Amino acid sequence: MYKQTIILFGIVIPVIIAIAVIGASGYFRNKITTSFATKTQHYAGNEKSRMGALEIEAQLSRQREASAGWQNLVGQETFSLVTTNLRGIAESLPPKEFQQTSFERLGQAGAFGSVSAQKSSGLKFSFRGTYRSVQRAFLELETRMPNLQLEELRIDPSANAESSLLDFHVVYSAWEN
Amino acid sequence: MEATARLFPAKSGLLIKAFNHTAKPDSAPGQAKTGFIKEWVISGFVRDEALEYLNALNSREGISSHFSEIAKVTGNLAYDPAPNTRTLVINVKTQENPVFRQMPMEDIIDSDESTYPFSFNLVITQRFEATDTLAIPASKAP
Repeated sequence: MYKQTIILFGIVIPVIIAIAVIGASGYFRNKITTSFATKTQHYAGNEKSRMGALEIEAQLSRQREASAGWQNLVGQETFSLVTTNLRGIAESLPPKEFQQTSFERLGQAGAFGSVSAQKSSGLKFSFRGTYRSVQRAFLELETRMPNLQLEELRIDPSANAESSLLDFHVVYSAWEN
Repeated sequence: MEATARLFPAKSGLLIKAFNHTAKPDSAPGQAKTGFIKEWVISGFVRDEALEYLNALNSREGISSHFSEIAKVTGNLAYDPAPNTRTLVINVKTQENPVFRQMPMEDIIDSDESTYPFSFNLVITQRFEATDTLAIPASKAP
């Protein structure tokens, strides 16, 4: 007499409820997994962008310093700056191996200056000295003043046949502000 | 100067009498950037044993190898011959030294040019095209 009722409430309805619960669990699990994957992906993307931004910021910071140094350099009067630097360099070298024999400010821009709208001036100077000492002096000068563009370098044996020193003649274009 | 010092090491059988280096823009008006040409002209005297060295240097491979070494040692990328916006050419001429005098080995003085049987003239030309990274911008810096 109660057989149908027992089957309905004892078996069919619990099975239907169990299937519904399993289905709902699967649906929510899938949804959570997809959402987690999307959020992980967004997080990784954001983290990558943040690291990139930090790197650019560090690079800009370094470039800002270099740019400030460069602006300071090209903002100064080239002729007196070269003179000051050469005096300082000469003090660190043996006097017999490095002597400045002439220094001239050219009236016009050098060959490089003539092809660029950037302001520049020509400098011409001569030295007498040994190869290595003058090489050290040029290296130091060009390190201190990277705005100098070498246009000509001539090296001849000293006019004095008994001297082992060499004569150096140099022309630079100096980029200015 | 480092390039020249390494090109002609001490006691290599070569005596340099004149050195001239120039860098000039390669005039091509109307372009955003201008290329340039560097030239080294070196002349002097050479002993028999150093002729082979000059001959080895007198080829694109020989001078490129030397410039590559300079770029590596000094960190100055202007010497790097690899970019295809640059060309590097060398021309070495040797001839008999008219004032050469044969003398015993013990009497030879390195600075005496009459002890060298040959004289040489070496020209290296390095051209940077307007598309090279080192080309000169025509416009003023911002």
